[in-house]
Amino acid sequence: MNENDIKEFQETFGTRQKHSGDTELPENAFLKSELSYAVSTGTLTSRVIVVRSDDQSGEIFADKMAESISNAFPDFYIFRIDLKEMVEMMKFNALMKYKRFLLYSNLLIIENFEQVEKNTVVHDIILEIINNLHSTSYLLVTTKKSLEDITIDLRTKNTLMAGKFFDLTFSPEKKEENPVKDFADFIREVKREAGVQENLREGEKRDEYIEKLYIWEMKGFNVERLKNIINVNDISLIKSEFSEYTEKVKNLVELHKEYGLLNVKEFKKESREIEDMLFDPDRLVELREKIEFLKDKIKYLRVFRSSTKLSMNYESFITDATNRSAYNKITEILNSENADKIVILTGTNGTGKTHLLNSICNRFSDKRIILLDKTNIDSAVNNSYVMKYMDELSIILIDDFDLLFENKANKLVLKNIIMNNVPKVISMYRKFSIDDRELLNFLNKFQSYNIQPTSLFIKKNVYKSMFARAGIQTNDFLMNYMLDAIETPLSSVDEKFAELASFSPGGAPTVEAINKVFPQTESKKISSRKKSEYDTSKLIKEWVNEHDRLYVEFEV
Amino acid sequence: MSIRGNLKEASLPDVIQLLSLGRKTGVLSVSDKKNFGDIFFRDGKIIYCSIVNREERLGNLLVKYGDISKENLEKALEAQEEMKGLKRLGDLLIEMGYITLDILVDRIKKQIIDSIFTLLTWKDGFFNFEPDIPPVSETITVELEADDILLEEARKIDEWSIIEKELPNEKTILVKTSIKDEKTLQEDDERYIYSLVNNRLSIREIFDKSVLGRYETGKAIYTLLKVGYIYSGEEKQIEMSTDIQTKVQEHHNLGLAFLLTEMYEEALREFRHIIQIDKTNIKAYFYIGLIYFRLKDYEKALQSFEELLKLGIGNIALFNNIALTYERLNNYERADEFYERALKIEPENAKILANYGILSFKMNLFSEAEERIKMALKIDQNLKYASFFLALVYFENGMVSEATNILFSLIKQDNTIWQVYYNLGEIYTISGKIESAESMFKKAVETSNSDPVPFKALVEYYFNEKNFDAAEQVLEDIVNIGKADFDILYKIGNLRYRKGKKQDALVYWEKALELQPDNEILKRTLETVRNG
Repeated sequence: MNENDIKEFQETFGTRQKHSGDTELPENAFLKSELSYAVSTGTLTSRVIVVRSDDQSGEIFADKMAESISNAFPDFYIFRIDLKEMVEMMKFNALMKYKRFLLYSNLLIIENFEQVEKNTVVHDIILEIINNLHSTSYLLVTTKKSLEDITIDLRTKNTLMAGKFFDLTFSPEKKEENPVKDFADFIREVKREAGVQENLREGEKRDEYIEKLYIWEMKGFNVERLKNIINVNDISLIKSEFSEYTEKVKNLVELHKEYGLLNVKEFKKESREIEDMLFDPDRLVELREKIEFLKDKIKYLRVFRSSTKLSMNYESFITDATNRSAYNKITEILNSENADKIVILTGTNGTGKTHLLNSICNRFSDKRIILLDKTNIDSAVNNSYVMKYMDELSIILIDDFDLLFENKANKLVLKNIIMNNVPKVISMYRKFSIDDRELLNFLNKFQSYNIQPTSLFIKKNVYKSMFARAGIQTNDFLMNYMLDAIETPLSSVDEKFAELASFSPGGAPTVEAINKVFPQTESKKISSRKKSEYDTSKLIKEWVNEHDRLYVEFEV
Repeated sequence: MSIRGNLKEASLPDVIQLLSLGRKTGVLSVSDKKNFGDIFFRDGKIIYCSIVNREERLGNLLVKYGDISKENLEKALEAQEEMKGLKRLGDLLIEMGYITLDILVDRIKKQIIDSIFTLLTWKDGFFNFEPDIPPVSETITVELEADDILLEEARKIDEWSIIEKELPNEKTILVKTSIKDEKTLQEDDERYIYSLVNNRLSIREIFDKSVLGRYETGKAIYTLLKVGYIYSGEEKQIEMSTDIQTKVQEHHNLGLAFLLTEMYEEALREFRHIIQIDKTNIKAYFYIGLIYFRLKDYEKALQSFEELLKLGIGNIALFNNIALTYERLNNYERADEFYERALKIEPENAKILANYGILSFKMNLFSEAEERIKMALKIDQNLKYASFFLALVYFENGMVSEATNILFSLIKQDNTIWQVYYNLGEIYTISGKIESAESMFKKAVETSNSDPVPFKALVEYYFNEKNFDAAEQVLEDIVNIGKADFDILYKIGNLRYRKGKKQDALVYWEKALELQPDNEILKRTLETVRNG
């Protein structure tokens, strides 16, 4: 991209606030909590969120979302496609030109989605973008029309319908149906019942305080401190204690909110500790520290889990003898049934090493597992960040270890990780490419599993499920052709199928489309040729002078 | 074809004379197992002679003789540097007027004759003649008649055998007796050597310093000692601790020379010496690996190559050789790894690609083999072994005409490899083109000289064709070249019996039985035939 391209891209897909700044965010508790979740985690609560509104509220919310996330996470790619603008200003070219960049956004906002019907070119590109979004991307769609009323293909509709849906069009009875209470409402209620909102007047009776104290106690707060002073003579002391207490409860409730938004499933111990403190105003400072600490750990896990692909799960991981034994071994280690510390997976491209690691990540989502690979190794080695909470991890997965180890910048940290006591699963092309004797000797103490190239049977099953997922029709001829001619490793075949789907809307893909999407290698073509039936055993299969093949000169 | 032998069995003058009479061009390498020298021939004339590790840079030689000054030599060397070595030093010295061509040629001739003299004094060792190898390009060559040199030197050699015995150890320091007056010395050579004796130099140092030849210097020292002008002092110890660097270099030069003439034990000894001096000398480990490889001791070769890995060396030469060693040990997986590593460094290295392709072929990965070897040949079409294996790959893939085409193009490059004809013959036989096979097998027999394999193939061909007379003829040829084994003798016996020549058959069968005394079938056959 040259400078002009960058300018054009920013102008078209940037997220500078377009809608008048003083407009208030629509009054909706869900949108608010969505915002605060996004600010603390950098993600939405659902991969897709659709906001429908009659006015500009949806767009204002989207602007607010973009602004808040980019403030909290300056490195994130947040792009916005305004379909109205696309259609009215005929900006198809830009869309066409940059669509592949848009796929990599952390958050992609599509505004005025209903306009998608108005132009077939825009329609096709937008659907392609939605269906090929990177697995770590989140999508926020605003629309004036309900999704049911927009004519789009079934697959895209399903994708959008699978997400969360907020309707901001005026419908009071819907709001009342909402059974979940907002934390803000909760605190208002607490305050009202406790009567702390009214100023305590001088000389108010002790009984009123006692009554308030019981209400606090009923709400579950620790009131030991108040109980100790409720009987002292100095009513002003009681008053000041109560007002201090109220202030702390307010802060506690804020922390409740914060904590409530955290995903703590990997942190059972920490969350138990925090939950013990949640109703104790005297431990406010400690609690705040603990929550901050927990947030930092969650962020840490998120950094090293962001590249895991959900599509690579155990169910789609069809095991055969070699990878099954490796998988079982890893499961044993994770369940503390095996004391081994390192499992080594070797095998060439496309044997399923990456898939195996990903499926472990996804299957044991409540364990503290991190996956190091080429996408996050830089963050990992930067100030040795990966070592920060390393000792608390259940297992560390490292994909393409030998590749990562080739880079000098990574060597020290990677070696440290390997020598550390936390169990690890590392995948690599082959062990011997590691140019570090000490490390190699160390690794040699552990069992390694050579994952065999994928059998035709597995390949066929993967292709079948991919065809089904991408919504492409197939037949025996196509399937056989794919099995014969395609060498793409299964790890990257996912994206290819999505691409194939775009070439063959509705029907079965043509051979040309397959060839276009799946690059074929020269050698594969030869391999498909039948080997001769000749008995070649009598031929001489050694060169006259084997020394010709040696190097006899040696320069360093 | 190389001529080689032992100095105990054939005398060096005879060998030189033989090469001279045969108008040979090439290099005769001579070794007494400790030292190493080369005599270069062109059309039977001696054009150059050098001894490994002996100071013989032309410039220094001329300074030693006093033909040019050190300053002039430096000027000439500078000029040579400026011209980026385009001109030879000798030519430059003449151009700059420091020396005349006559003097230059004269000095070189003297030097050559002296070197040959040294070689002729070696009584125990090996010689080896490799045709068509010229001296390094910057050498100024002359032309000397071998006969003239041999005649002149033969006389000196006889005398030398006496002088050599009488001379003290080379480390001995020579001391002037100061009893006799220098002026009473009659001979120039003696006066000159006497002037060199300064009570500090050892005999070896005087040999090095002297502008006289080895014989003349030795003879003068011998005379001076006998007549009492000088006497032998202590042995000089300092000599032992000459610069380590120089020592290593000397072993290295010798090792390489031995390696090139396939004197592997001697070469190993030199490189092991280096490692004793310098445990991290990478070249020594490399060459030791290479030597063990050639000796087919692949485990030891690997050990030595792996020493280099431990020293952190990783270049394509090493990776290639390790891969090849693993290939020999049938550990194809490891071989594969090392070719990969080599290719990472140089993805378009024809040799590596070809070798990797050959490995793939051995692993029955024919498509990979084809791809790699083809790429290698694209980069370097002269890689003969790559063509040879590509043909094998093609044939495995059923592509008969591609296989034969590439073998024929290989023959155009080099028509001396019988294996190529043999494989052509086999390919024709297997693919049913019997009529073409015969000529190929015949060609293979012609080219092979004395390897029995193509002979046997031709025999089998004739057997299949039921042309028993032709088969018998070839079988007899094998017996004549002394390569007959049980199978050959047994077959001749059978053929003779078939023709009714019972006695003949018995002779061959009995010979065969000597080679396989426990062969029951043959024993029974013999019995039956003998009894009736």
